[in-house]
Amino acid sequence: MDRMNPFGEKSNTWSTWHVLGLNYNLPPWLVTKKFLLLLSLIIPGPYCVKSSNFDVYIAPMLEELAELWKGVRGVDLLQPLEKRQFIMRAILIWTIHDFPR
Amino acid sequence: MLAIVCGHLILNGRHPLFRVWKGPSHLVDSDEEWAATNGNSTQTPMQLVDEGVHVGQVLEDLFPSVNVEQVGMEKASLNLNLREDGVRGLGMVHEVCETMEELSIVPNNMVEHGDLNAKEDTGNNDEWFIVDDHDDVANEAQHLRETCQPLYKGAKFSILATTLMLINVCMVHGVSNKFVDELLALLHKHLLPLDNCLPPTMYGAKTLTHKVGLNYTNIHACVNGCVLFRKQYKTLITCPKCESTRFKEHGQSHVAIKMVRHFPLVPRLLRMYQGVGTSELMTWHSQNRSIDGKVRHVLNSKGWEHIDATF
Repeated sequence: MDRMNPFGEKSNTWSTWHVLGLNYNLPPWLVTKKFLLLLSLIIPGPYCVKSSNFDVYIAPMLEELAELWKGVRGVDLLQPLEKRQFIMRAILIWTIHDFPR
Repeated sequence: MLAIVCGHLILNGRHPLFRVWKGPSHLVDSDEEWAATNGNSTQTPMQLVDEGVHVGQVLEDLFPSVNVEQVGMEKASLNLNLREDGVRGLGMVHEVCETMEELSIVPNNMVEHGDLNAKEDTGNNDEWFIVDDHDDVANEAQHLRETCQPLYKGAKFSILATTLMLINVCMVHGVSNKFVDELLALLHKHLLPLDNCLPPTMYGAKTLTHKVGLNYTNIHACVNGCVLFRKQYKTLITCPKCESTRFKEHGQSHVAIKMVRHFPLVPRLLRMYQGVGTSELMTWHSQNRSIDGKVRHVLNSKGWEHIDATF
């Protein structure tokens, strides 16, 4: 999670925040490729996300993570027919972020 | 140095635990290089979009509950050569969504907004459990099949490909929604053959691409970041904490002042298991554990093992 400037104007005071997910299931040389990044949230400005409202913005994502912790039913195509249905779980390992003020 | 290593190898032989690590053939640093090693690097965005759409066809073939009888492992293995395309295509769809996202700032009126949000909300909830719901998957596959028909008789590109390309170009250059509307109408009515199936409006184009899946939701937020207007706050017009207004006037309509875009993770993760190429990548970690006790990846960590053992 970090702030960025979507239009590349350096003097711009507008601050947009985004939350990106990396999928560590993937082979290490593909994890950070842009085709496989999971963009989760775009929080528009004009102000920075602050520590007081940080939790408000990431609430939708947290709900999803809770969902994933409990398990979501999925289908894996590589398995033989009878084994295809599986329960997908995902766990947040760590976060790398800019600390909101 | 090399001579010493060589000597040691000859004397001691290879270590019994030595395995060939299925890593990349050489270090790949940038996305472009990766694309280059995995295919033709001189592709224009157009070609990329189209490839993404071909992958749509592959995905469609592989939609589990629809084609489960016909699609056996034979078909899956046949499609393996489309692997890299699968990866790129997925990214492409994602990217198109993103660009659509960024530039769909030109507002609709308030009523439409409400409707759209309501629809999207319910759609999302369904999508979270898309695999449970046979009808939903069937519908989605049916929709994909329809949109992958050629644009008109003898056309080079499918309906979906054309729409994506047009929307992508328009969004990259930040043109207004009205322009897109008129462009699509012009193409549909006058320039293309009469039997073409191009959606004549921007709304049509958006619904067409949205139905393929991997959508995003717009969530209205308080300007000062007190609350997101969803769940119990969904119908409020002012923020319950700081009393600032939710909408601003834009001509005759009302527009949300701040909108957070949320791209649901679950359907995307599920989709990664549904494509043969990406599914293989997703299970990479279980096939490539290091067996000599050295930590090369997170998956050798105690935490990962604990999680494996628990579930």
